Order: sequence, then structure tokens, then C-alpha cells
Amino acid sequence: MPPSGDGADEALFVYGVVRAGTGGPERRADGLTGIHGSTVDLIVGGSVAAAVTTVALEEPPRRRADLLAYQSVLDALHRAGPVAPVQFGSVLWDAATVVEELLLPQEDRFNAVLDRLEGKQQYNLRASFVEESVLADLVATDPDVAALRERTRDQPETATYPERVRLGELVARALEDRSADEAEVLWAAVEPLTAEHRVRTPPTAQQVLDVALLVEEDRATELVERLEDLAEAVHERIRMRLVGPLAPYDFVDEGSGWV
Amino acid sequence: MTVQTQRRSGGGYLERPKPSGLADVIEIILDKGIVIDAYVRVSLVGIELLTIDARIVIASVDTYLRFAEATNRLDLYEHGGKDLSEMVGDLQQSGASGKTQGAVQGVKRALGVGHSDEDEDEDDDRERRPVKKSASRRRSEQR
Repeated sequence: MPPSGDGADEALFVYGVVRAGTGGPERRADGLTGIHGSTVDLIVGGSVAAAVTTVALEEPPRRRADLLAYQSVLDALHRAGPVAPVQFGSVLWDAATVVEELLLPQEDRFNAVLDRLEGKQQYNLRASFVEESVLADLVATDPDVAALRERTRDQPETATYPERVRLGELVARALEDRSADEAEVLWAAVEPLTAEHRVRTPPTAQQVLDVALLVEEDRATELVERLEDLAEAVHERIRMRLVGPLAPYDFVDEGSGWV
Repeated sequence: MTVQTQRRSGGGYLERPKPSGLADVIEIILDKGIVIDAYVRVSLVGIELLTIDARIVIASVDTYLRFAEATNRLDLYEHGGKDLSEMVGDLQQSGASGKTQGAVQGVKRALGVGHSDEDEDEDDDRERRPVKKSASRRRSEQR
């Protein structure tokens, strides 16, 4: 146990919350390498446990390798069972604080979240316009855009400043409209295969979808296949990108009153 | 990182990058996870900056000018100019990834990345450097 109280030079970096029990909680963190190459321990409070690493306060976890270690520990925990990630950089003084201030006051809520996340994984889906292709289509189909482009393209930039701003505004608005329409169509095809989702960024003039998906493990293959089909169907104008499976970073913030 | 984000699985059109670079990981974890109240946490300098809001997209004159520029450059596309792929890459970077770029650089500063981690970061920097240049070039042209 690290020293506690004033003057302590060590503290506990918290990765996430898991269920205690089933096969011995310590087994779950066995062999994991955490921040600064240290071991990962589980501190049990009631029916839940926090995965932690002892860190020196003189050398707080804020380097590139620490971020990567944080993610790799959470992904490893996630492969072994449900985990609720705690925001990167959360450091508590000692085990007593972890138990009394983090775990026990929120035990029921953590259990509810872990039940909800059981058997599910996160994927991050992004769909972006292939800009040259979408812009070419816009010029071909929008007379106003085509006319302003004719007036500005071979002129000195300073001489046509207002026209160029107007052209850009027209293009941006048109792309935003198209983006929203494309998002609706894509989403209708994807949503039935997801358990939950969080919009990371609403549609923009450049990006159609930026959404975190929570997916049942046994539907993941189906989801990827559908996305492959969609990506092929729209590839001339939209590029699709899927990252995962990941620990459910975007799916722990439901409700209010977190410690 | 560049190679990985462009890799496609089984010749399909869906990109399946492995998030391995710093920018990828920050993108995934930034502002995510259970938030523990400040009075319970140990306050550590540098870490708070990770919660910088990276999601502000400004619909500004700059944005409009960028679209105008992109639209006018389509000439090259129609006439089969050689510079297209370069310019498109430039535009996509300053556009789609522009909002994360600022945050990534901010966080990298906050993380103190760039000295002992220099060699590993070169990929990220090389990828982003042209964006900074072209953005400042555009600004100076307007003046």
C-alpha cells in the first residue's frame, strides 16, 4: 500500500472500474503492464474493483507512453470482461480513498453500468466526404456555385474577395446539407446493428458521421460486413473508417452524480 | 501512422486502422471515461489540459475561403492536372482533421512530448507540418 496523508510521494493512477469476484479479482490484472511499466493492481470495494497503478507524484503520468499504456490496460481489461474506463489522469491518494470515495459510494451505479456493458464493445465509425469528388458534383449541379466559380477562379484573390467568400459560403452550406442527408441514410443502415451510440461530432461540411457505436460481440461481424458493403457503395464520394473493438470509453457517462 | 490509416482489410473499401499513434489514442480517449470529482483527485499539473475542448469547429470566413479555393482548384481536376492529389491531401488535412490537429498539438505540448519522444513523434509532425505552412500562407496572402 502506498503511504497516505500529507507529504506522500506516491499515489494511485486509476484506469477503470471492473467487477470484483468471479475467479479472484487479482487474476484479471495479472500480467498487465501499466503506466511507467509498473504492475496493475485491483482494489476491491464491495462488489466492484478499481484497476490502479502506483505512480510517483514527482513523475506524473502525462507522457505519450502513459497514454498508450492507459489505453492498452483498458483494452486488455475489456477483453476479460466489462470495464468502465475512468478518465485519463485520474489519480487518488491511496487505497482507502479509492474504496471509500470512489467505489463504495457508487457501487450500485457502477454495477448498473457494468451490466449494461457486458458482452459489448465500442467501435468508432467515421465517414468523410471525398472532397474533390463531392465538389466536382456540386459545381456540375449548382448553377450559383458554377457561376461564382467562373467569376473568381482566374481573378486575383484580392479583387474577388467578397465573391470568393460568397462562393465558399454557398459550397459550405451545400456540403452541410448533403452531409446531413448522407448521414441519415448511412445511419439508418447501421443503427439496427448497434445497442447504443454516442454522436462524437454532428455532421459537418467535411464529415458525415463521427459516432461511437456500442455493439454486442456476436453482432460485430455482421456490423463490419454491412459497413464494408456501405463503404463500397458510397466510396466515390465518402470514405469510411472503423476503429475497434475498443473498451467502451464513450459509454460510461450515462446518468449523473458520478463521484 | 499514415500507412496504417490507409490500409484496407481484404481489399475492401472500409478502412480499419489500428489506433497506434499518439493522435489516434488521444482522439479515442480525450474527454472520455468516468469523471472523478476534483476534490477527491490528486491535482497534477499538466493532466488537466487533456480535457481541453477539442470539438469547436469554427464556421468562419477562413473556412469559406478554403472551400472557395478548393472549388476553384477543380480546374486541375477537370483538366487532369498533376498537382491534384497533393492539393487534395492538403485540403483534407486542413479540413477534416483540422480540429483534432490543434488539440493534438496542444496536448502534445501539455504532455511535454517532443524531446525524449522526438523520434517517435516525427511521423505525426511530418504529416502536419504542411498544413501549418499552407494555413499561414493563406493568411498572409489575405493581408
